[in-house]
Amino acid sequence: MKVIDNVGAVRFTAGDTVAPEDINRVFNYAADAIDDVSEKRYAICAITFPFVDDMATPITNASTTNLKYHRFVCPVDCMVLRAFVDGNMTTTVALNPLFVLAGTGTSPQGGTNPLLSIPIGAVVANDVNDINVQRMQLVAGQAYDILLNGTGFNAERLDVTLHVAVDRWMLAGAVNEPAFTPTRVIDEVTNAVVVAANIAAANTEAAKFSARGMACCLLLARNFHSATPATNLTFALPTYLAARANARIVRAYLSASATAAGTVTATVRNAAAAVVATLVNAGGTSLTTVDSGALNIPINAGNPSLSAQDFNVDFTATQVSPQVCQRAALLVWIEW
Amino acid sequence: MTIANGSTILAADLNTMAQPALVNTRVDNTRLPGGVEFIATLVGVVATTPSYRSKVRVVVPVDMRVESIALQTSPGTVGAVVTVDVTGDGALPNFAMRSQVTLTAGLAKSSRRFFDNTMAANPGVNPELTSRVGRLLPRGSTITITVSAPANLLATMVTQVVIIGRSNLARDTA
Repeated sequence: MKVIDNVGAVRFTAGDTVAPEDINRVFNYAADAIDDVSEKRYAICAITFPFVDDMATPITNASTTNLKYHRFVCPVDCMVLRAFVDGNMTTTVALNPLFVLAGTGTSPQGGTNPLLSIPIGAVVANDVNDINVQRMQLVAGQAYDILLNGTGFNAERLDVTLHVAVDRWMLAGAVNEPAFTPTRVIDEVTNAVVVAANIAAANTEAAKFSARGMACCLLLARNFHSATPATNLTFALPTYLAARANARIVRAYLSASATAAGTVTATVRNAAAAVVATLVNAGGTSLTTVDSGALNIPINAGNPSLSAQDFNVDFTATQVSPQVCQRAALLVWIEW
Repeated sequence: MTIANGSTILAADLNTMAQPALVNTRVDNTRLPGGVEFIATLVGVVATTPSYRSKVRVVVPVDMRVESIALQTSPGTVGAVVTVDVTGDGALPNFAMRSQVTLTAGLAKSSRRFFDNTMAANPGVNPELTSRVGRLLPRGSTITITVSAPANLLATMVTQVVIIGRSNLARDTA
């Protein structure tokens, strides 16, 4: 038998005589390994929701209601760690962006409104910002709206950013981190049962590792109609350099609003330009969201950002000019 | 095998008894770091666009290694160059992560890779010019993405900036 002291492990060969402590070393090694992984818990990403549609037209308190909304939907329970607003504007009345459950207008668990605040007296050319560090628990499948609540603002630029964390152990149905505390094997007649129980416990905890973290990104098309050139409505979703990134699209949500009835479509194409997902939003004039359902689309192992390997997202709308889709936002959730 | 009191535990049993746990652990480690993309889209940036409009500012949520800054632009004046700089606060190097794209009659794409598993010659010399220098965005740092464009661009032109990052899972969320 070989004892590998620096990792506390042993290697057995046939014919060895094994003492209880030798078996304990093996279980301790497994326990340490599980502990090391279980601390890697949260996938965290930043999503920026821009409210100004182009660099020439401000958004004001008098703008169409739809333009003052953005929507966020998560496929799994997750947590907003921080929220920021950064912009450049004038305010004659304080501007208070809100973050509420769509439909009810109530605050998510752990949060209060307003989410953020830009005080009265902001002037153009002086950037303004605010931060909220409340931790808000969001529920899988629930839509949340970010909306601008103010009666006297004129924003040259206005971005709200959320830091969103997905707890992989919650995805595995566990509140606590996976942990394995082996029962020590000592010199007694019930050792075999203890060994069997330890093996079962270790494997139960390690099986939770199949739960992954998730991050999301936002692709956004604005102010377009049926005749808008496709090249203005195609957005890249680059692949990663290595397969180790292990990125897979697992869900997408298309939120859209328009000035007239019609449909808005987001088409996701892979590196070979083949369609891998299509979302059609027929919600018309109000802000509505459609859900792709579960997806399993690997996007790793490409050549990052070079054209041949990019995924692309194309937006189209059936609204005929002068009617437009005011805003189409595709939230893409990527599993690590 | 099923282990019960009275069983004879063989060396093979011991070698494999914790194997599923250790294999799962190893697989988990090989799947990190994960990939995350931050996307900013700016519409209609022209030469006269004031600087306070042609940027996006965001706080980095988690330590992130930047693999690439990727750009895509819709059609514009052929040959014109759009420049994107990603700058940061004091925790970051004092030169911008810069990427440029030369416009075409169709979609134009370009990127600047910061790490591709190869090593450039003299990577420490003129790092702002060395394509393969690694860049780490520390959690809590503020980055500003600025788009600048020449005078003869279309006001409808769309510039998409993607920061392709890689990150480990965080041990806490402080």
